[in-house]
Amino acid sequence: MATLHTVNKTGQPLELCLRALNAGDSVLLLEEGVYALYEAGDVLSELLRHVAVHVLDADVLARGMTNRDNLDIDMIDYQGFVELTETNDKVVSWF
Amino acid sequence: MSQSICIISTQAPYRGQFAKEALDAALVSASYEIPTSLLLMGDGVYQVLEGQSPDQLGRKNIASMFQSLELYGIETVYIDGESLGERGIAPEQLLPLYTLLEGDAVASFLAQQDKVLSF
Amino acid sequence: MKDLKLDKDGYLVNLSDWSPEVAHQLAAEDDLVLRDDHWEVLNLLREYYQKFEHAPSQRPFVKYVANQLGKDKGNSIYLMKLFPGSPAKLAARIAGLPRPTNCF
Repeated sequence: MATLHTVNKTGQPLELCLRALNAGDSVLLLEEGVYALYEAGDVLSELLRHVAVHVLDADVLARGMTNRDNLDIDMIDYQGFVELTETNDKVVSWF
Repeated sequence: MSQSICIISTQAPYRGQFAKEALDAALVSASYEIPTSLLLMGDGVYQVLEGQSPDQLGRKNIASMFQSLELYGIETVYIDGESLGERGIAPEQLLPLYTLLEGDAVASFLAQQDKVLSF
Repeated sequence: MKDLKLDKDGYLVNLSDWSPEVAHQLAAEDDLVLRDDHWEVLNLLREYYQKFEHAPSQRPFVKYVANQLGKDKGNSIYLMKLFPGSPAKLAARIAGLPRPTNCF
């Protein structure tokens, strides 16, 4: 049962999400969760080895974020968000 | 067999209405005889500390609500062991109605659930 | 007759307004005359609220009555006879508790 995990803040939400991941899951960083691109470069590179990580482009652009460590993270739009909810069996939101 | 629901509760007991709403959701779901589980993670583990008396806050005692879960057919509350450890909480300080999930057990537990709601 | 403040579903707005007399008044609105067997259950329900901080829905209500008073009384048929319709909701109303939130 593949799960989409949405993370809307760094700190506790991101940490708890990391504990709940199974191989084949996807993570979507949105809202303040996109700051993980700055704060959590090493966490993210570790994460990328096990699961697919996406960021929501509207939230990235709004906050002037850049992918500092040039990690292989997929920028998606709202349509892509909807598609992720369809391809996974369930969604868990971490906030 | 109806689909299972897991309610994840991650906030401290008197932070807004999160803890109460998570419990209400669990009670509603169990009232409809849906297989329901409750998982406490992060600050959510503070919800089952013994000895809460929030009278002066004018709030309902969250721990008291937990004690009714059994009557709704929810026999145990799942707790992320790592969250306890991080906060220096010993299992003896908790209401005696939990099951600890250690390490990867949290992830595999969640993988088995059909639906997950977070509060 | 006391002039009671009730919400749209007929539950007391101020739970502290409750007294046994008020219970009789609330019961009368549903054409119920309270007897000892009603009171046994109403007192138990008030005790439940004290202990667990919420009014129970049907299933835990029945189970709690069964635990405390035995299976002869802790079953839907018995409680339905005492509090026709939806026992958990009606008994909560008469006992001066809030509407069971997890009971639709």
